[in-house]
Amino acid sequence: MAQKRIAKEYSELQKKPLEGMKISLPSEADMHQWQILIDGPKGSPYEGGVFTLHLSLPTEYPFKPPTLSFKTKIYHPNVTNDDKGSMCLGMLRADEWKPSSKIDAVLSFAKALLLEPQADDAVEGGIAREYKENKKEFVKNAKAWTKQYAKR
Amino acid sequence: MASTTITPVSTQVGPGTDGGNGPRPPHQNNLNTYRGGRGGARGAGPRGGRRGGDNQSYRSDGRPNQRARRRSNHAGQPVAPIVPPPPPDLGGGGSFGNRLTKDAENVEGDRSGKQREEGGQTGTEEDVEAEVCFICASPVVHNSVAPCNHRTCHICALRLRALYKTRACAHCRTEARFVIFTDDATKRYEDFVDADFQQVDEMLGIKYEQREIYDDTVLLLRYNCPEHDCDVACSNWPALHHHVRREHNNKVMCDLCTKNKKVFTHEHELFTVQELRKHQKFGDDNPGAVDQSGFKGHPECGFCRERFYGDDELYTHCRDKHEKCHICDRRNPGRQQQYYVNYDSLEQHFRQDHFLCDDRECLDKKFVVFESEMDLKAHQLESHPNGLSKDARRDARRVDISTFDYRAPHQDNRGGRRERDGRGRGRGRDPNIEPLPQSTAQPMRRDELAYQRQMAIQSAQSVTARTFGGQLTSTNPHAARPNSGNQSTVTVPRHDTTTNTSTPAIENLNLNAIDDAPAAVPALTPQEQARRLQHAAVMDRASTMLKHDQTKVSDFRSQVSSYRTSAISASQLIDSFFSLFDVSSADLGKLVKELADIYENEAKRNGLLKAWNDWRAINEDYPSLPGSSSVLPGSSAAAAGTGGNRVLRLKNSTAQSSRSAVSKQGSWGNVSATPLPSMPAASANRAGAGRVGPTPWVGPSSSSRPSPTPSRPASTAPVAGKANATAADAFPALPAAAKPNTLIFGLTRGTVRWDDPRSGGNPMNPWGNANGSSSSGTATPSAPSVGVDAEPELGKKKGNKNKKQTLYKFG
Repeated sequence: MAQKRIAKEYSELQKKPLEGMKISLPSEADMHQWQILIDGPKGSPYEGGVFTLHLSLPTEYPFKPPTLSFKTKIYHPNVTNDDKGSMCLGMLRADEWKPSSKIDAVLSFAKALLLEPQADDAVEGGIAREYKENKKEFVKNAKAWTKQYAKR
Repeated sequence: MASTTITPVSTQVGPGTDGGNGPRPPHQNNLNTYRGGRGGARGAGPRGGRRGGDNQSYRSDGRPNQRARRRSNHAGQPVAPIVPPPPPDLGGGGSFGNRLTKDAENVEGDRSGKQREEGGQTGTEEDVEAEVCFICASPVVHNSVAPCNHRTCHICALRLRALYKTRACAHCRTEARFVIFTDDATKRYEDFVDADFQQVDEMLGIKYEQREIYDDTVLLLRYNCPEHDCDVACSNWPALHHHVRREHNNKVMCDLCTKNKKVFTHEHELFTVQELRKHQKFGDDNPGAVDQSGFKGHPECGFCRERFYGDDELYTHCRDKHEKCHICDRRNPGRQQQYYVNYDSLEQHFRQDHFLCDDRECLDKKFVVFESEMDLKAHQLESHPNGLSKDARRDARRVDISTFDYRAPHQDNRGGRRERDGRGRGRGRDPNIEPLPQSTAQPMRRDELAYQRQMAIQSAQSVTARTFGGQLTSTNPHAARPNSGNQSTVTVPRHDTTTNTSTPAIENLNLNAIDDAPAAVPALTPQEQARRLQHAAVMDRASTMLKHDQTKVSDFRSQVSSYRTSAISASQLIDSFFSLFDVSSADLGKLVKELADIYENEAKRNGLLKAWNDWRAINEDYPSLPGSSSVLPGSSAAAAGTGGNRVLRLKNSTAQSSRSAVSKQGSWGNVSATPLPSMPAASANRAGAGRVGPTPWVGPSSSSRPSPTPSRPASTAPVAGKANATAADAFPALPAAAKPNTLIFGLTRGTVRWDDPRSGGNPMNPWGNANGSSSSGTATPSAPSVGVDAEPELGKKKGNKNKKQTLYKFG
């Protein structure tokens, strides 16, 4: 079941790519692991950087949600600042996932999160606080990290 | 969705959208105009023709149909619906199998490509979706319509209901008691009336509009042999295993997959024994194959050498059967999960790296361990004051300020530690005054103590509102428990060990009484109250198992009460449980037994238990396919007759998934960092666990590599509740009396204290010491410290002291 659906979504995304995203398969043979290169959206502190994301689709997809993680370090309240770089997306939680959600929606959501972090739903409390209370400092840090880690 | 394309029948589109009639010459159009109009209304021409017309597969008829449309458009021939539809040619019935076959054989790309091409012409995206299930991207054979009017193919709907046990809509998560399986691609849910349904399955919550859909559905739920061209369906799992082994060259199925993987029976895989080993160990990685699944094998518990379906299952196992150090976990929440094989091994770790209360009573109680020496002292003053001499008590109250260190918290731990080691020697207590009572001084090396203290202070600074007094009162509830009558004999072991021997028994009794208390209460109280309690317990368990899903809980209630009123039989009740609960049969068994206890009617109780045992006898602990057992008999005529051919077609149509769907839980992410718990000394300790041997606590290898230890049934690992008894069993042969106190005093006092911490470690461990003196030599106990040493140091960075109460967080 998973294969067909994934293949379909992949070919759709290849045909009609999302803006500012490049999707590829690290291993041609494994449709379940996707690599996504996402440009920092204009107007966000991540502008100018390019971020590598990893999307992992479980074998039970679409009945179980995929997981999304940042391979590129990013200063963001909703991305864990560890080697996993897990992104916290509400729609990817097991109890909120809908089999009808498609990967392009997941990716669009991730991109929207770059433009507008959701500090109330944060995994990095410190960054979230800074985002809420001292936006300037947050932007400065995020920009610095983008420059340092997400160089083109 | 398709309703957007509704077109007046009299327009030119009408005849064109008539499906299934494409190949017919245009002049026949008028015969089909009415249906053509209907087809148009459905928006998906191909589907419109499904039942009418020739034996053509509706999937393949998309193309001719579209051609027909174009042709008639050219003809520009408006047709009015005069002629009522002929009684359906009933090709559907006769050619049913045919249709399925074609479905399966059709190349999907061909069709959908065509469809897309045509999509531009009709201008509706829906055309594509009406044909291909949005969820699984496979061609829709039958529709499933939910009350929210969202549609999936019947296979996806069945998968969710029967395998995932959820009644939520795949599109919007709306829960629905019933969905409708129909071949009508556009009819709305509310437009169906009861008379439309040929079959209703209460258990799965499916209403079937056509008998054949019902048959197709039941087919999926049988225990079909996974072999591609075998049409055998068995009556249960064991029979299927047997069949596979006997008929298909000794092939086997993966036990873990069959028990956990949410796929239909025929979608499982057959392995040779070697393949199975590879499958379990490494997954089905098959470089270059098109059907890579990303499955990496079933993880194994390093202690028990037992494999589990996925990381979640392994995690559950480790949580239930093995031990974790709550102190280390609290200090460093982000670290890798680390387990100890059982409490003995964990206790060893407590001794080594934390402050374990050495009191016999506390040892029996388990988990009386502290993060800092100060906390331990506080505990001892409070709980075992009589064990200490006056001097010692005074001493214990004294906080040794001299070793406090107000260094900033961000200092490098390792470096800092070393420095302190050096300084520690010159500072601190005068070695000539009376040593601290062992109970306080023993469990830690001097330098460790100093280090602990410092950490305690640091954490006190970072954690707000932590005061010494608060610490004392909040140590833990057990500390505050008044000592029982044997106070005078309950002492720190090394002070008064001889009188100690009687206490364990007493203590065990006490604890057992406490353990039994909840069960005993109902017996003591009036019957009614007892019944209510049981009721509450059952409902509690049920709703926990249903994850507090209200609809399911009320389902559960109604099923139970209909059994009470004899509306359904016991086996029906059991079946309904299986469609309701998504838990292992062991858990379900507990519930059934508790439930049975409630029934006052002897017959009802026995009936339920018997039905449960019957079911279990047949299916062991495999997942049941809800409905398969109960539905089959009714449908057997239909299913048995055509089943053979159909099931093969079915396999074709889901072939893709059967090859690919090797499963991995979606939620692996949570624990994916810990494919295997690393267990340094713990695994090693296992060998000596619970036995008094020459090397009681010493791991053959203290490295973090899980050492191959003799496996034993995991169930015997002590779990908190019954642990008391086992602990007593585990340590029976160590009469504290045998301990040469003088030796210990000597060691602690003179040589050890300022000595190399390594060798100083020895005397701390009363067990180790006892053994050492009796048999193989004192060198052994120190060995584990080498292995475990590094890790806790890292862990000590952050102490979160004010969570003392969570000491008993277990199970």
